[in-house]
Amino acid sequence: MAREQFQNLSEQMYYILLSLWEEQCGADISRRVIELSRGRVRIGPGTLYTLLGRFEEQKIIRQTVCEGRKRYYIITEKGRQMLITEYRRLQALVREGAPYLEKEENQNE
Amino acid sequence: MSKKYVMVNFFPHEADALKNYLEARALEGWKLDKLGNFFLCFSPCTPHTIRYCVEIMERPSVYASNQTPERKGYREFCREAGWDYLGCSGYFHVFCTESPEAIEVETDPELRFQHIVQAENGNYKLMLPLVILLAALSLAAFFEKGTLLTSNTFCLLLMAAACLYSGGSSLRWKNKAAASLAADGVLPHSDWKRVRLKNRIWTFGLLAGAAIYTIWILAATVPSGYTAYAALAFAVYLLIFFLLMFLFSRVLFWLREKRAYSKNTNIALYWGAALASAVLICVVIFVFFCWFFS
Repeated sequence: MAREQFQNLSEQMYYILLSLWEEQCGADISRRVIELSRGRVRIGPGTLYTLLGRFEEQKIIRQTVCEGRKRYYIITEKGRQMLITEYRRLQALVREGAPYLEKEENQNE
Repeated sequence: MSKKYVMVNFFPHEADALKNYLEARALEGWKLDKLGNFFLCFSPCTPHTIRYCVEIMERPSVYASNQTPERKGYREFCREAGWDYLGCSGYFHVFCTESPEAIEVETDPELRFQHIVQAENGNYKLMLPLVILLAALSLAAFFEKGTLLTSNTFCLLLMAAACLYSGGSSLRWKNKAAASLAADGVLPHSDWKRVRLKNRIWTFGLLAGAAIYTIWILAATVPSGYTAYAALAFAVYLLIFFLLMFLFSRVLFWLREKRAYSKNTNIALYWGAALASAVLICVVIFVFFCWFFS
């Protein structure tokens, strides 16, 4: 499956990586995702924990500091490249869909 | 009102049904106090809304200690998000909260789907050695006695029926869930009343099958006049069997949770204990027969 190899990121994966552009701990990531998505995307602690584990395994993010049970993470170069690729893919989707879908939307309005 | 104990008979793919069941019980005035491998313990409370989450962790294993850094880390994340940990039963980890704002523990249905499938596969890996052992014993009896009508074959049939039931139920859910994920991006809804009724009938059917077979064997093999003795001996045997099971499960639970050994050590401990209890039961049976026929 493509998603298992992180070739296409889900919304939640995308926002987690985006929030890790700066060093964050688990609770901060959750809050940052809500902030970045303007409340549209909310990530549960179980999902966040699992995805952080998978990202770390694939070296997409790395742990920076471990203060007791609090762990801080940041995105790696591999993760940045992955996020940029995903961003370009999403841009291409919007660009290629725009001539048809924007016209449709304007008509509906 | 005192505490109430209820048997846990939910398959991994019925985690949502268990969650809905627990929430319904809270509205009836029963909150979940703790959970073990076989029972849920409820205590009375004023009927109110309690939110529960029944989760299956990444790469689930019934052998893994609940005190590993990964599992502690998972619980810590959930605690920070407002969820109290109640305990685990098999693959299920149960959390509760009274806050309406707390975000659900698992918000990615695809991840949840993967975890459930991993747990179901783990169940088959647990059953496989037992099925192989019983099949080997049945075949050995067939070559030796020329019959397949042995207690091992019956156990094998019971186990095969259990595997077929759980396998069929799991496969049906898997197909339904995959279709629902592809179409709507969510997992199908579980009606806890239907699931509970179905599993109760199934458990009762299995126990009734075992009881009928036992009575039939006792009636066929024990000479008339000795039936009462045989029934008493069988009751004692069952008592010893369940006491041993209880004892071993407590010791293993203690080893798993307090000593926090690695998963492989726990596997060795579990199967070693199973072997030891099998030997012990055989010795008890042997001693009983020596006494009975002497």
